[in-house]
Amino acid sequence: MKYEVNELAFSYGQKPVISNLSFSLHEGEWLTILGPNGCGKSTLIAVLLRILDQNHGDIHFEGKLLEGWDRKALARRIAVVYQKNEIPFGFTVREIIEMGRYPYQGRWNRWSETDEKAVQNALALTQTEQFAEKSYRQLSGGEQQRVLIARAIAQEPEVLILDEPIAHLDLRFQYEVLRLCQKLQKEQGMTILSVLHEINLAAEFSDRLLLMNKGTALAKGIPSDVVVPRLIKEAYGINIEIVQKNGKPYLFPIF
Amino acid sequence: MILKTKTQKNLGLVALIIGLFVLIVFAVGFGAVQISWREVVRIMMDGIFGRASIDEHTRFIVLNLRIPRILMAVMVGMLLSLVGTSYQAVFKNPMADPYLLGTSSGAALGATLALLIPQLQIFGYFGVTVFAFIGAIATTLIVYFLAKSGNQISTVSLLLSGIIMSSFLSAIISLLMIFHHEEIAMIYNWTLGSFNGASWSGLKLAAPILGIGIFVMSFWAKELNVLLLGDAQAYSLGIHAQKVKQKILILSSILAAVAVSMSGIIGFVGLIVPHFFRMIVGPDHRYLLIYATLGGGGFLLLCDTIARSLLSNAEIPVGVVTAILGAPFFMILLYRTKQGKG
Repeated sequence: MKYEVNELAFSYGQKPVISNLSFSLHEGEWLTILGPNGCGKSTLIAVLLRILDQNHGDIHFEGKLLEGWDRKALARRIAVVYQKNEIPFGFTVREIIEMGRYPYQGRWNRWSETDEKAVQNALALTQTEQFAEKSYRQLSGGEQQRVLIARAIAQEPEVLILDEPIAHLDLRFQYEVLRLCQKLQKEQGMTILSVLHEINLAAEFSDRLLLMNKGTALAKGIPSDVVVPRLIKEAYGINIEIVQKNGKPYLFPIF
Repeated sequence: MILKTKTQKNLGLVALIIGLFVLIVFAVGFGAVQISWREVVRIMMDGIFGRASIDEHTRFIVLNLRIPRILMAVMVGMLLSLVGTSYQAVFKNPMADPYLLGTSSGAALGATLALLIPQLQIFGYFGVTVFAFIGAIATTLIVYFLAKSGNQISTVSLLLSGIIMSSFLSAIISLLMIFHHEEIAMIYNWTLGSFNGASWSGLKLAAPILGIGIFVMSFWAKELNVLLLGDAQAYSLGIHAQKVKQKILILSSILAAVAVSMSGIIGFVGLIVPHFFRMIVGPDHRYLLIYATLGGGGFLLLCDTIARSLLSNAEIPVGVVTAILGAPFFMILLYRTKQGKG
């Protein structure tokens, strides 16, 4: 078991954002969190990464309370990719990917062969070698996203968290990014936790879905159990129709 | 980026160190009494090994007048560039600089108050630096929170809050000047920057702080790099971003306060120098910090040498020289940032 979240609650001041949320993330699975804007998805990711501290409930990672983890040790196991990341100054792609090795490095020590191997592997998997020496800011949005994924891969995590990784990308790049993550899951046994807005893509790529509404779990389960008209109507307030293809549900809004 | 490989960057560093020494030797020789570089080197050697020199008068000029002033210019330049580099990383903004953010004005106001109000002189000799630090850190925090919206600090809000704070604090300093006629010359020196007060005792106080500052900041070089990826990414790489940023800002404010309490407000050094060296060695702080520190020392020494030798009968405040050189540079930088190239 990677994450075990139990009766989690979080509020900004008086405003509750997450309440009574429980779920778990199993080793090797791809779990996607769905939900309307403002339902607490991004806050949840921040709590899972220990950027924010919860007000109530507990989170275990690999059987140990999250607060008990040393931050660097946690960083060797969990990496995150955000939707868009502006990085000031002219860092090269390689320099940014090399920063993924930060949790493995001591204060003054030299770049090791293991570090170099991890970076080479990340460059190869994301096919970013051809612009490794270019400045990150000169790249297109899709290329930048691949670099950010490469940086996360260089971190050699067991869990990869993706917070809306394909927003702002065109259809082709959306599929490229998700296929790459699928490859990491199937071939390298990586556990994936993603936040997505595209329900059809989420159903296509994920093993399980967690549908959130108003800060808590509305439904959990395999895509065909979660993507059903009743639940989608409750969360998003729209009517849908479902078409099954290759055993996966695809939804069409009905107006 | 001009220097690409590690070998090039290391060689560049050696060249920079040698260049700084050569610059120091020539700057010592420069002035109302011209002294040849051979003479300067000979007297420096005599001074280091405690020997008597042939010409005691020249020796006095070199060891007691020029070298303290030159070392002070170098050290202040180093401090300001070091602070500018770290501010730019913490604020994720190439416009961050102790002068533009009002840190220097805050330090100058703190120092002025410590000089004028007898009740504040409880820390004795260190009092000026202590109050300069209080002024520096308070101003930096106010500007930081004024400019921050969400997780972002935009260039516009950062510059605006910095300018508002520094105008406000400078106005208070001007008011203090009017109320304290007798000290007007001394306060005036604070506001434009000057190395006239250089002495070995002041250097002995500042040198260890500069040394510690360089060491500790280099200690955080990797963190400064990772912080530029954004706070959330920094957390996910194992850095408590908020805590590390606070520590870096406190150290930077101490360093800025030491610089200001030695020399008064000198602008633009912390802005130009890191930016210039980012073009030479790139933004990796493991190199940039030390390049900018050494280069900042050289740059301010150059400005001070111009300031004291341009006119034969008077001295230009060094802050005027850095502003005349720096303002056009700042405009280019602002223009490039607007174009998204900053």
